[in-house]
Amino acid sequence: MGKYKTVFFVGVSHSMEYRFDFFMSLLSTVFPIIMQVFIWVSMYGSSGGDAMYGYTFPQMIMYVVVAGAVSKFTNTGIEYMVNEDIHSGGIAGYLVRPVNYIGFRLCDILGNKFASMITMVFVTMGALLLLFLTVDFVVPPAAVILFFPSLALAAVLNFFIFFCLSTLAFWLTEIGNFFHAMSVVIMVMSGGVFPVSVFGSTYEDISRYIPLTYTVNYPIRILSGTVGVWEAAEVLCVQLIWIFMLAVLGRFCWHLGLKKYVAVGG
Amino acid sequence: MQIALPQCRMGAFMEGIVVKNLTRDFAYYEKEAGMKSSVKNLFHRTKQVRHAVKNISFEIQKGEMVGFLGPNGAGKTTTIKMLSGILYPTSGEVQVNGYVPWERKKEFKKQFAYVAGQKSQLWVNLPAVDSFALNKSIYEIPDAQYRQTLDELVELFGVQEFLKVQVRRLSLGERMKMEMIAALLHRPKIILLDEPTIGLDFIAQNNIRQFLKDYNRKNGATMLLTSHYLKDIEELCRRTMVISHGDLVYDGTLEQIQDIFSKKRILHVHWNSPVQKEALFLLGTVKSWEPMKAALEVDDTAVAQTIHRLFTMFSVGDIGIEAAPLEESIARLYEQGA
Repeated sequence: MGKYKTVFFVGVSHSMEYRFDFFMSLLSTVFPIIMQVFIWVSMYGSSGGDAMYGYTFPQMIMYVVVAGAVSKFTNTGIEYMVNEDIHSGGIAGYLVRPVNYIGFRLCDILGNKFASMITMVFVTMGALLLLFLTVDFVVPPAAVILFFPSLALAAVLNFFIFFCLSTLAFWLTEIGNFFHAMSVVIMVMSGGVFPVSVFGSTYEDISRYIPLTYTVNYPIRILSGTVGVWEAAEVLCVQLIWIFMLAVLGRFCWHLGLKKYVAVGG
Repeated sequence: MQIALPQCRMGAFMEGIVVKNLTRDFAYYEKEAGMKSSVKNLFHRTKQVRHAVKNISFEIQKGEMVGFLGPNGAGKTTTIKMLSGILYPTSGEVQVNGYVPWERKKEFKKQFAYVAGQKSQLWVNLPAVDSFALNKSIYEIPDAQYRQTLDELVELFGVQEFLKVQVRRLSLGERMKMEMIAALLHRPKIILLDEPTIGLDFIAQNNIRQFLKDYNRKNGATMLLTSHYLKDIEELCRRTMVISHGDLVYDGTLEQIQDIFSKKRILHVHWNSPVQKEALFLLGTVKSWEPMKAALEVDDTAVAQTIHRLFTMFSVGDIGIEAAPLEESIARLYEQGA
């Protein structure tokens, strides 16, 4: 177990080398968020200030702002790492050492995310404070406390979703565009742009049974207080179940791909 | 040229490397030039098979350092990859210290190291010590042993001052030294090196060579080394295997290659008075010519006779005899495998 702890800490130091990059990436999410804020301001204005899609105006604004940050945080980029390792032959370096690739990558990414997690805590607190001061919006403390574990689990869940996808790189050489397209689709379907309820009740019902919404939509709903404490606990359990199932699937696909890799030579 | 290969004893445990009838084929698809064939290829592709390694067998004893030579695409890396367990063979058997590499058992991985000059296992954004610490945990090296090995390796390479520098800021030579240290921290008994000196200047090459020699002497490690620099093989390996077009065409010492393949000698002659180039044509192949000196290539059987004729025909000031360069002999070996 010690080896994965070391990988985690190396990941932490690694992310420190990229502080500037992280802040820039946070900044880059600001612009689309501002656009959305304007859209929602005009939509709520024309609707006479009622709740839309089950969200009041401050809740919607908070959703949009936090969704930008959350989807940035949960996005691990593992698919590009795996693709690079497979196609550049870097995978050999892991095959010859007594280390589990998936565990290695997960710990590396969690370590990398650790610093961003701390940043996220402050960004969220700041956003909540701002909302409280400007529109008198109050979030229950329990919601804030449950939000952070659900966020961490969301990152792990997102890791396994994209890890499963990334194993396709064993069979397909040119896959970068596919990953890009998939990440946009997954982000929208996860509720990374606007609440899932916007897509209508049918998708909202379906979304309860697929892992995507548990990476962005649910963590934010926990924070915004649209799900109660018990339901929030349930969300954490569902996240764990999905993580387990996708980890099993990812492992299976990885071994299948590896068999092909070792047989064909990449 | 067929050189007797050692008899392999598969089945019985042996420290070192045993390879028997190892074969590896690769499938690929061919496409004619042009748009038409691109469309055609969407529906039907002609599958071709390339025999990268053809039925090779050899044995490397514990502690032996063996050089593995061959032109690009000869099958060196494919063979090394099969010995490392990164690639399955099409057929044949391999045992490395008693393990079948492609089963990739943990105990096997802890005993061997694979160093590829063109692939890095270091984190470029962090200092090398971080990567070393990681390998320490991956190989579960006890603290005391780690300290001792690290100090020893760092001293052998003289890289103390670079340990805490971000790897991306190191020169290629320094980086390769760090790469070696990372690969050898767990004190592997078998080391497979794929062009470890590629792209390095001759001082760095020399350092790496000296280091490998010392490591081999101290630890009795078995090493198989590929390189395009003959000097690497000349200095490190008493035994050399040459692979060409997937066939093992030679297994023996480097000097022997020269004996077998080079029947030519070069005579370097200095004259006391200028000699015309044309006057030399009858004596041998003129390799180089200036009015006061020349280099002549002759058969080894004709050396004495040619020297005698030179002395009778011209006023010779000085004469030297040299064997044809080793590279030429090896090039001939490569061609022979074609």
